[in-house]
Amino acid sequence: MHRRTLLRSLVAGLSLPLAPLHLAEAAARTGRRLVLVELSGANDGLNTVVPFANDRYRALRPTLALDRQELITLDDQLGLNNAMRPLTTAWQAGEMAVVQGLGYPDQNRSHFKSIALWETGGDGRQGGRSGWLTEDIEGLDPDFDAHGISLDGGMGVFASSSGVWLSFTSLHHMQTLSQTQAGLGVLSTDSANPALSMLLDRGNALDTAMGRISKKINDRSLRSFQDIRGGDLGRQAALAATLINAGVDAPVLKMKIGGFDTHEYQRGDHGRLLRDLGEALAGLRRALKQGGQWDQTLVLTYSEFGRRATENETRGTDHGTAAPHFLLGGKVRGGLWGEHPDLENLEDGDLRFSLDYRSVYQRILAGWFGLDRNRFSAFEASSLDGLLRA
Amino acid sequence: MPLPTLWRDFCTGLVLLTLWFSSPALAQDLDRLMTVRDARHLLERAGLGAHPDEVEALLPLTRGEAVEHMVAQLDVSLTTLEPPAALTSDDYVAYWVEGDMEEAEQQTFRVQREKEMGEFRRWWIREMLATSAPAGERLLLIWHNHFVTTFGSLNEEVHALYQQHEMFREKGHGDFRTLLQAVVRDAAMLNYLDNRDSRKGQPNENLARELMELFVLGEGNYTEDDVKEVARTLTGYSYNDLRDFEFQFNEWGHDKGVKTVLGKRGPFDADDVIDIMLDSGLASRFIVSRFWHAYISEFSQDPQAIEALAQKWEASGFDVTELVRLMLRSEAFWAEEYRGTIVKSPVDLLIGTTRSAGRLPEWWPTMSSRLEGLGQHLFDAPNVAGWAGGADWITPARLISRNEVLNELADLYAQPPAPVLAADEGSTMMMADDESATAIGSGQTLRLRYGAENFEGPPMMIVRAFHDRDGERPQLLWSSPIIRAEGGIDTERLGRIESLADLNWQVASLDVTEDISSANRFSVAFRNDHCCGPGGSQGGDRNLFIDWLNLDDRVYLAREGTQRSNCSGTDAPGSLYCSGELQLKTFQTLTPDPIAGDDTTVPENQLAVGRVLYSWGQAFRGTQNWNNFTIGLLDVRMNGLHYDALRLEVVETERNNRRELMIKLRSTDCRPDCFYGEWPSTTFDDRDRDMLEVEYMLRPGWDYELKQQYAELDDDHRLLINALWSGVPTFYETMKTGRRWRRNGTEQLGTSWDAVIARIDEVLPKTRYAKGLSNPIPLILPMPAQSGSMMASMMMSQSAGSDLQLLDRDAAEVEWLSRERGAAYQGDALIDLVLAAAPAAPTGASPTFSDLITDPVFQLK
Repeated sequence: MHRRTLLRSLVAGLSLPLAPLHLAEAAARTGRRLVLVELSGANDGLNTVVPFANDRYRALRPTLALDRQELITLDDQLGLNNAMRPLTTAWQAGEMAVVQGLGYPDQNRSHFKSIALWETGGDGRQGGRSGWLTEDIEGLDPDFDAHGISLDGGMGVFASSSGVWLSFTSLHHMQTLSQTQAGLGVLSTDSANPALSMLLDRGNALDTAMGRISKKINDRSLRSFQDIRGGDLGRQAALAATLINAGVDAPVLKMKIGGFDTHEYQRGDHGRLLRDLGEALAGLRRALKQGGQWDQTLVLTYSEFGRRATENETRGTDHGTAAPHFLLGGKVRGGLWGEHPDLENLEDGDLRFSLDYRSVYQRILAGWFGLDRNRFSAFEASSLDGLLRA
Repeated sequence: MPLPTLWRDFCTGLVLLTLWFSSPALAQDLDRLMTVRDARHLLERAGLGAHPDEVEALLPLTRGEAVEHMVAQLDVSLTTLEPPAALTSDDYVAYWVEGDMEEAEQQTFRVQREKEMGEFRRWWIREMLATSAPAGERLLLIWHNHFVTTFGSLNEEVHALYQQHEMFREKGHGDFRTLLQAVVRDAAMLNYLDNRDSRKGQPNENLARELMELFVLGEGNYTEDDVKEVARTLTGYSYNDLRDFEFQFNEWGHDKGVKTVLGKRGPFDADDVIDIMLDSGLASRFIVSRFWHAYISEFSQDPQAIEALAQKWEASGFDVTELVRLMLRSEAFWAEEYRGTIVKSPVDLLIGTTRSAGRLPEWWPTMSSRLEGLGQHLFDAPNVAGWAGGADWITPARLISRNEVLNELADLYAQPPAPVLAADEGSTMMMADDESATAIGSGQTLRLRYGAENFEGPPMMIVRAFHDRDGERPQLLWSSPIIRAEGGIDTERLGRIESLADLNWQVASLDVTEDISSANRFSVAFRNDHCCGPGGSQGGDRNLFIDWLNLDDRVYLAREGTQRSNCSGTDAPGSLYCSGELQLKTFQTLTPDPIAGDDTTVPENQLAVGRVLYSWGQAFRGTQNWNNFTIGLLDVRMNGLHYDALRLEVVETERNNRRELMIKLRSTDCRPDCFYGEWPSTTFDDRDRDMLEVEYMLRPGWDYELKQQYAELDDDHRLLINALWSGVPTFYETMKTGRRWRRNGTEQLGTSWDAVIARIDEVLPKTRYAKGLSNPIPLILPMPAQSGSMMASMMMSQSAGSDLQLLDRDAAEVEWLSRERGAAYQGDALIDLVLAAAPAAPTGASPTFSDLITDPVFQLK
C-alpha cells in the first residue's frame, strides 16, 4: 500500500462520527485537575495585592501607588487592585486564596531562566530538568486522556521525555487534533538518532491520545462553547471550560497571559492585564460551576518573579523578586495566606520572599493529587495547613 | 544523466578563484568528492533547501571546495529584490511626534506602520525564496534568532527594525566585535531591551543582562554584580527618533565611574565591555556552541570539539565568515552521527521545501502567516531568547500543523505544474504583475488595494463609480464585474489576523472601458460575508479590507471614506467585518514633487511650519539658574529651506550676572542638518556627545563666539533664525493646543512661562530678529501633499517581488519534478536527494518526491 494512502485511510477511519458520551457521565469519571495560569513578563505583586495602609508603599511608588478607592479591601492592611473586581464574587465565596511573598533563594532575574525555574521547581542555585509535576502526574493514573493540555502553545512546564503533554491553541486545532492523527504512530521508535526517536515518540503518543479525545469532542460539545471575556486569556479559559465540561480527562491544563513586563508607564497596561485576568478566571469559574466541575478544579497563577519595590524613572518597574499568587477552586479555603514581605526590610530595593514557592507545589501534589511523597516534601510549610479543603 | 555542465564549470571556476586559508587538519575528509547526500546535507544546513541544480553544482567539488562555495555567499548586503519603498524612501516618518497625535491619528499612524511591517516580512520571505546566496540568508536567520528584537515590543518602529536587518546584512559576516558594537548602538535593540532611558543612577539592566547571557557569554559565565556593572557602562546609550533612529550617546546620562566587569576595573563604556568579554575566553565557546546548534546538532554537543573550534575562531580574531567556515569544515559537520539531528524550522519546512521542489505553491504570498502558524513568526520571536528550536518545533500541535502543510505540499507536487499564465475566469480583473500597471495615471485603469480573510471561500466585491449631482439622483457611471478576492488568509486553518499587517495585501487592476472622468464617488460593496467557525469568529470568519482606490492621479484612502455595514460597532472605514459598502469621495492627488508645489503657497521671507508641538520642559522658576522648554516643529519651510523636523530649545539663564533669554539649536534636533552642513566657525562642539550647538540671545551684548554664530550664517539661515525667534510666542500658544501638552505640559510647565513669553513678545519687535521678515508671525500650514509622495512610494512597492523567481531563475528552469530531468532521481538516488537518513516509513520500490516529504525523516536535516 502506498504510504500516503495509508496515512489518509487512518485519518478517514478516525473522523467517522463516534457515539457521543453523555456529558454528565463523562464528567462523573473526571478526576481532579489543576489549571495553571502563567502571568508572563513578571507581574508586579506590589500593585496587585496592595499594602495600602503602609506609608512606605507610597514612598516606594510615588507615581504608581494606588489609592484606597482603586482597591478592593481584603483586610485592614491589604487591598486587591480593583481591575480584578470580576473576582470579588470568588473572594467573597471564600474560593480564592492569596498566597503572599512567594519566591526562591538566589533570584534569577532573566525572564526565561526564572520562568523555567518555576516550571521545573528549581531555584537560583539549581535548575530542574523536567516539569515540576510531570513525573508525579505520569505516575498517577494510567487512564488519562492526556497528562496535560497547554492552551497557549507553551510547553515549558510540561517538559518531559515521556507522557502525553499536548498543546493546542484554538478550537480549530482541537477539532483537527480530534479528527486526525500525527500520522507517525504506526512506526517503530527504535532509532539511534535522538531527533528521530523524539519525533516518532511524540507521534505515537499523540495518536493514542487523539483516539481517546476524539470520542469526547464532537459537535455537541463544541456547541457548548461559551465565550468568556478577558481577551486572549478569556479565549483560553473558554477552551478549557469546553474541554473540561466535555469530559476530557487531563489533570493539568495550562494557560498564559503575556505583557506583564511593565518597565515603562505601567499603570494603564497593568490594569488592563489584571482586568483580563480577573474576567477570564471569573468566567472559567462560572462555566465550570455550570458544568459541575468547579469542586474538582484548582487554579494557580505563577510568574517569573515580582518587580522591584521602587518604581523606576519611567513610571514602570524593573525585574524584582517576591510576589503573591492566587489559588482558586471549589475546594480552596479562601483568604490571605503567608506573610506580606516587609517593606521596611528590603534587600537592595527588593522584597525578601517570605515563602518558597515550592511550598505551594508541595501542597498541590500532596493535598490535591494525594501524592504525599513528592519532589517537594522538604518544602512543606505549616503556614499553608488547611489551604485546600478535603 | 545530463548534468548542466556549464553551470558546473562556472561553479568550479568560482571556487578555484576564491582565496581561502585552510587548516590542514581533516584534510583527508575535506578532500573527498561530494556525493548527492553530502550536497543535500551541506545545502540544507548552510543554505535553504536543496534544489537538484544546487546539488549538482557541488558534485564535482571536494567537501572543502563545496564549503568555500557556501562561504562565498555570506555577504548578502545586496539583495535580489528591492526592499519595500516605504522603508527605504526619504519620506519622513515622524515617530517622535506620535505622543502629540490624537487617538484617531495615532491609530492611523500605527496601522500604516503595521502594514509596512507586513511588507517587510513578505520581502524577506521573497528574498529567501529568490536568493542565489542562501548561505547568507541562513546566517541572517541565525543572527535574527541571536540578537532577538521583536516588532511587537517596538511601538511600531518598523524603520528601526529594518535598519537593524540591514545592519545584519552588512556586518553579520564580518568581525564579531564590530557586529557587537553595532548591536549596542542599534536603535531597535536599545528600544527592545529598554536601554533608551537608562542613565546614571537609574541604570536599566535588561540590555546588560542579555548582552552577557544571550549575546556573548552564556548563562553562568558572569555574576549578578557583573550585570549591574555592565548596566552602568550602557547608561546614556540611546537613539534619536527625530533623525532616522541614529545612535545617540547621552553623555550627561552616562556613568563615567569605575566599574568592575569580570574582574577587570576601569571607567568602562560598552565597547570596553565587549573587549573584556571577547578577551575572557568564554565568548568564543558560547558562540561556537550556538553555531553548533544551528549547523551541527540540536540534540548533542561535543565539548572537546567545541573547545577546539572556539580556540581556532579566537585565533582568527572573531571573524564570522571564518566561524562559518570552521563549522562547515569541522569533522562533526560531516560526521554520520550528527546527520539528521536538527529539526527543520518552519522556514526550512516552507521556504526550504519550496526551493528544493523548484515550484511555488499558489499561496506563497501568505507564507508569513503559515510560518506564524508553525511557530516562527518572523520578527516576533516569543521572547528575547528566540525560538528554542529542536523539540520545541515538534510539540504535538505543531506536529499536526507541520504534517498538514507537508501533506498539502505533497499533493501540490504530485500534480503537474500550473500553467504560467492563468486567465481569471469571467472578469476583466488582473493582478498588478506587470510594470505598466504601476505607472500612475496611465488612463482608464482603476486600481484597488485590498486584503481578505477567507472562511469557506474568499470575499467577493463590486466596485462602482458614480456621479453625484446636487438635488438629483446619483448617476451610476460604471460597475465592475464581481471580483473574487485573491490571496486571502484562510482563517479556519490559520486563525484570524492579529493586525492588518498580517494581511496579504493585493492590488486589483480593473480596466474601465466606459468614460468615468466625471465620477466623484466610488463605492466598494462586500456582499458575501460569512461567519463563523466553532467558537465564534476566531474559528473562522470572512472579511474584506480596503486600503485605497486609485484612478489617474487621484488616490481615495479608505480610512477617509464612510462606511455602512451590518456590523453594529464602529469599525474603521475600509475594514468590512460584515456585509456592507464603503463610499469614497475625498481623494488626494499624487504630485511628483510636493516640495516644489509648496513654494507657491508660502510667500517670500515667510516662515511656514506644518505642525507645532510641546516636546518637553520644566516650570519657570526665577530662582533657578537654568530654565528651559523645547518646541517641536514639523515641516519647517522658508524660502529655499525645508526641514522635516526641527526642535528648538527656549532657555532663560544667567550670563555675566544678567538674566538672559536665548534659543538653542542642536545638530541632533534638525533633519536634515540645521545649517545644511555649514555651521558657523564658533559653533560649540560637544565632542563627547557628538553634537553641535548654537545659541541666539534675545538681547544684544554678545561675546565674540555668539556674534559669529549669527554673523557667519548665509542670508537664508540668518532669516530662518530671525523667523524662529519671532515665532516663539506663536509656537508657545500653538503647542498648548496639542495632546502632548495636555498630557505632560500642563503638569510640567503650567502657566509658569506665560509672563516670560509675554515679555518676549514685547521685546521682539525691537530686536534684530524682527528684520527681513515679510511677516513675523509664522504660518501654521499642515502639508498634506507630503502624504502624496508617501503614497506614491507605497503604491510602487506593490509591484516589488510580484515577479518573484525561485533561486533567481526562470520558473521553467527550476521546475524539475515533472520534467525529464526529474527522472534522473529514482529510488535511492531520490532518497539521497531529499532525506537526511533512510525513510522511517516503508516506501515502495520507487517513492516519489511527495512520498518522501511526508516521511517523518523529512522533518529533520
